Amino acid sequence: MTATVFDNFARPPCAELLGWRLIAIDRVKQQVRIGFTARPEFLNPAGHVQGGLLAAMLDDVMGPAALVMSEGRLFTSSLDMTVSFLAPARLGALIGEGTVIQLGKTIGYLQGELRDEAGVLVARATSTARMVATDRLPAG
Amino acid sequence: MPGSEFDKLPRPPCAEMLDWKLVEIDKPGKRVVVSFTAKQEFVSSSGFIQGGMLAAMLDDTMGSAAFVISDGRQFPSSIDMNVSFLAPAKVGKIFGEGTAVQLGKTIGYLQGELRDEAGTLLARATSSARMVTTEVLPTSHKLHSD
Repeated sequence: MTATVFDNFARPPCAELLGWRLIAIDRVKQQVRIGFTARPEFLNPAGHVQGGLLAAMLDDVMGPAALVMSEGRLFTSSLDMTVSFLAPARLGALIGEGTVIQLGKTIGYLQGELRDEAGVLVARATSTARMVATDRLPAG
Repeated sequence: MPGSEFDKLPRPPCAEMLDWKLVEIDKPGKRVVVSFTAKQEFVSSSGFIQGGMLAAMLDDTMGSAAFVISDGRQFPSSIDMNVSFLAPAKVGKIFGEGTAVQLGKTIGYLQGELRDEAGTLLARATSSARMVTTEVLPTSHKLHSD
């Protein structure tokens, strides 16, 4: 992967927890593709990845999509998120695709999809977010 | 806390990670109160708890309500969840209040709220879930009868 806006930011703890890794950026489609690793700690009593943790992954594809498409100038502070859980997710790699629907000065409209390695769509989300200038991020 | 439906269910890994603890059961109010610990690992670039991790806490809050209010007979498999993020959450203790708004044979309607120790409402959610009998849970998680 060549240099990206992510090189300018410290990797946050939640990205570490979720095994976040950038796979591709598609500026034409206003989209980023990101890999995650579902760990044993994420499982619910049914033995599947807990839905909220899939929401955490979706949050971490939509935010990066906004960061990339704003050329690293804006990060997202989520106002709301609607998630549909379409199929049970198992341990291992999950692939997220985050798309910017529209970025305004103060509000961004985002969507995200999460698939397993076989390409099965396990969850999708839409989110609205307040757009905040990255120069207001805490240092480090 | 006296005995509850949860005594019969092994603690799932995600409850361990979120440091889920039962605080109160209010059966007439169809409501449970649980607590979590928002850990340093849950922090996003903003320096606050990542919204999705709050969604994970809300999921475990609403699921707990459905499980208890069905007297341990059903657990929810979430169909969808709608979360509003109202205030930034910091590392530390978070309280969740989950309500089983309506439980049918196949669908449950749930809601949840998260507050910090000062009582500030951090996030709220509604969810619909498919209600699954606890008998189909994997063997290692099946209810123990003793």
